Amino acid sequence: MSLLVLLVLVGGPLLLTVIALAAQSLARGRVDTRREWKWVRVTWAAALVVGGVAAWLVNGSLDLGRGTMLVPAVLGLFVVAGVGLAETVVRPQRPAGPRTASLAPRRAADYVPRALAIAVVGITALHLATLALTTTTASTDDMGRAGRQIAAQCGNTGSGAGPYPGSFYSVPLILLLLVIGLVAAASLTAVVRRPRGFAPDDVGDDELRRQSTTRVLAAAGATVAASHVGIAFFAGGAMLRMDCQRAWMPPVGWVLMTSILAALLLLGWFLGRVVAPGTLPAPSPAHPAGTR
Amino acid sequence: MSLVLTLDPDNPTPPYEQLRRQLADLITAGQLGPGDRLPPLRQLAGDLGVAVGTVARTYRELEQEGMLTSRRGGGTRVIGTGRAPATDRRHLLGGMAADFVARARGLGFADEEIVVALGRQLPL
Repeated sequence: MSLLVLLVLVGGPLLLTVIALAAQSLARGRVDTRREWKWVRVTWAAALVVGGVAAWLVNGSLDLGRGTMLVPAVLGLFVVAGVGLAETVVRPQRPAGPRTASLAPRRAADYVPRALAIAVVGITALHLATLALTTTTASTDDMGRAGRQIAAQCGNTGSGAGPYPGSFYSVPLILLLLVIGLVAAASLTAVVRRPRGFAPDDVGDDELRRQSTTRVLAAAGATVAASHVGIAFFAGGAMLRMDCQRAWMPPVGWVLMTSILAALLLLGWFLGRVVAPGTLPAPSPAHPAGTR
Repeated sequence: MSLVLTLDPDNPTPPYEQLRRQLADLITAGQLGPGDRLPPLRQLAGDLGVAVGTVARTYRELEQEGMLTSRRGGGTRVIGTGRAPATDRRHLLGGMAADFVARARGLGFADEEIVVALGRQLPL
């Protein structure tokens, strides 16, 4: 079972890389932004299909809802990887000739929209705080599986509810979120280091780089937001439906249920930023394309 | 900073030397001052379409000439004592003028023609 998951998580990205390299070879040639944009979208679609199959396999391979809980994160991992590959590998290299380079060091922070970065950091902090809370407050279920339900004692009677995202669910999810974070960071670095010459002029190059970092970050944010919807639903639901509750459970439960709405709104916004087609500014006469 | 390096693959001068000359001139002319940070090797190599080792050689040679310093985690920075001394700047300009005059003479232009051409480029 776990071997299949490992195979999916290693083989899937490899397959995606092969698809992206194939798209790159097909997009090679003269600079044609419309044709290039088409292959970028094909790579996204391939990432969605490969990610969907991987999520489906993971869903069927892990028992007691663990696979289902990982579905948004697995799909998100492939989407982030696909967007990263599309923005770095697929776009064709420009023809040879005199090339120029600015002496200004480029940093990812210079190209990331502030509002988007705040939103992604915010939802990630909320999600990690939720997972930390559920991990530390979870109990062993009636079959002896640690971290799978929430329990409380009221006098002589006890109450428990599950499935609850304790360590049984949260540990693999946190590991997967860590991988997604690394993939997103690697993609951002690759975009920032990407050579100039991908747009008609320097201004367009910077704009294209800004659009690429936006897509990578938005894809990572969408993954976290989608994951939070599921975790908050099961954690908040379990807290609110217990017969006897500790004092903190009802308010925290309602906060988590409310956070679902915020996560859904952010998810829609993030997905919109991923798929919105970017437009390049008109070539500047001060930086003609022929100088590169 | 809007300074730009240009690399011509058709130029017989090796790429690392083209880059070294341009950077050395920018530092000598004071366009790059002490403490200015240069781009990472991979960024510059990627932009110019050359191997990382080519840019690394350029940086290394300028380090040996005492113009740059590299520190792990701190990047590569220009070192010096403020803007380049006026004599260095004049020396650089004199060298560029001498190169231009030698090239024009080599192509058969008379000194009078060279002076007139320079005057047209410098309307006072």
